[in-house]
Amino acid sequence: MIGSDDVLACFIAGNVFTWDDWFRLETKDDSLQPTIDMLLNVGVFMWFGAVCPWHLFGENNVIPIYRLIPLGILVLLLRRLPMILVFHRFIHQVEDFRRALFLGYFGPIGVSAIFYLYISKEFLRDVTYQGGERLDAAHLSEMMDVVVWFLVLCSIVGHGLSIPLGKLGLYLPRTISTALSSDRLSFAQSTARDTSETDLDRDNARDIASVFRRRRPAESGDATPTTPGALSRAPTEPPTDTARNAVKPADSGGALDARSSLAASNSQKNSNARPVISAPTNPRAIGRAIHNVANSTHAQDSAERLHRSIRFGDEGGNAA
Amino acid sequence: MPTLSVVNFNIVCATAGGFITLFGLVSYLFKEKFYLSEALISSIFGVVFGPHAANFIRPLDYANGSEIDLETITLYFTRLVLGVQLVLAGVQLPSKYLRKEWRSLAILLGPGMCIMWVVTSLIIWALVPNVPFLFALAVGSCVTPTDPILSNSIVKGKFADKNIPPSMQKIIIAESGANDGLGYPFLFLALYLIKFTGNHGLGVAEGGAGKAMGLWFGETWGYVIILSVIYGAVVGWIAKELLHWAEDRQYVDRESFLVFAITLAVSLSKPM
Repeated sequence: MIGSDDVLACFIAGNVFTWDDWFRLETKDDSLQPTIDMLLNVGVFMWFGAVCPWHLFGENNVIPIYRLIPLGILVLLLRRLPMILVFHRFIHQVEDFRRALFLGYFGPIGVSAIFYLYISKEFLRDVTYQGGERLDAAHLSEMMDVVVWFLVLCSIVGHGLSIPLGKLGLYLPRTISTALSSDRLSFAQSTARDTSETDLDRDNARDIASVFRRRRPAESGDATPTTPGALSRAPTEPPTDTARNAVKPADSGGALDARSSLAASNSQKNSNARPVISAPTNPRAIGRAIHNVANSTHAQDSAERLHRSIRFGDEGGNAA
Repeated sequence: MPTLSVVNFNIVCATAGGFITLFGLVSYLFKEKFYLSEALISSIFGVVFGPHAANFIRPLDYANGSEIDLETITLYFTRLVLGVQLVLAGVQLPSKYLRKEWRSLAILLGPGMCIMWVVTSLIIWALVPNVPFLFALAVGSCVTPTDPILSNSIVKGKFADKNIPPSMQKIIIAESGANDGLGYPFLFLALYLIKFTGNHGLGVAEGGAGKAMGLWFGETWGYVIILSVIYGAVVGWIAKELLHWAEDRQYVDRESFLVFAITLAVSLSKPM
């Protein structure tokens, strides 16, 4: 109607439409949008497969096939990768070099390229000379047909196959994924967590820590009054230390024991001064202390411990 | 007596519907276990059943044999798909994302797109024989924007959830959404220059490079880009307010509510 850029307008409209996050959160768990999304994708790529001018790649007046193939490979490799590698330090979402590699490699060419291809062909049809399409315009039109379609195919095949090929053990995406897991690995070693989980776990751990902190007073309120004997051994650590413990929820090794007994001996004197309920304590250490000292409440507390560890697993699983 | 009614419409319904149904049976296997994108699988299907092989899907027939009509059909189809996808991309982003992350986006969309454009054009210019750099720039501008639909298949699914942190997923969505619309200035810079200066001066439109630049700034930037941003923002805002208004009074049923963004996209992408 007014000949403007509807594609940009759509993106802006979608963004403004959910500026207050209301619509996004309301429809987040609904599957209607992904379903329509999928139907349109399947439809448009099926159409592409059917209308793609295959015969042009073999015979055209623009570029022979033995130059077209290197062109496709070079464009896939160089179009975006160097740019991202240069700029990635300015983009705070890209945390390291490996992620920059990923972001740089996966810059697919697809529906928008075909869209622009036909916009320009429409434009070029109107560039006329002596009653016909101008010769150079016609040449450009053919060249765009060949090159753009070929690049789109390269991208569909190249980007579509790199993840499965990488999963099969070929080298490029494996380096990406091991790279992505490398910092996770060092983190996981320190926390004795399952290394097969994602490196999103760092964020999760932070979340868990905050959950833990919130949950703490209630738990210590449950656990401590029933086990007065344990109090002398239970560590009443300073809050900062507890926070560190909470970040490593699955830590059940000897280090904690050593630390807790140390903390216990440290806190022997101030455990009297400090009100027990408000003092943040490590639940596992309490459990251990209970196990040693108060056998009568053991079953109940180990059940609670079990419950708690299941909750950890769920939290990790949900967020991952 | 039963007869086969072999009309194009029926064939398309049978093949496309059959494919989506059959693919649906193994979609999880293909997408989440083998990590194959649905774009790849559907394209292969399109080739197999298209005019080059089985000839069940005959796009040229639907356009009554006219190549130009076929191009127009494809253009409008891609426009519709892009419109819907981009509204959904915009909806997926968290509140005020464009304002919060403008720094990263500005780098990706400003210098980032320019470099992508120039690098692609240089490769094309180097490998396509006997072609002016201006032509290469025109071709390069078509493939400069990253595609939101293929990006989506990378950003969604099990692989992405395992390997890409959410903040990076969001910046990929935002970038591919925003740079799609921003391909216009690159493309039309090249096209206007070709129209007004190309062909060794033969049959060149009046005005030369000055006219081309004038059109580029006036039409492309002033009209197409800025107007679209304003138009999109206004429509999005009004839609949001209307939906709030109706939802507060409980005039909206669940189905219409869910489909609201999609119909908004369809209505936005058609008339323009």
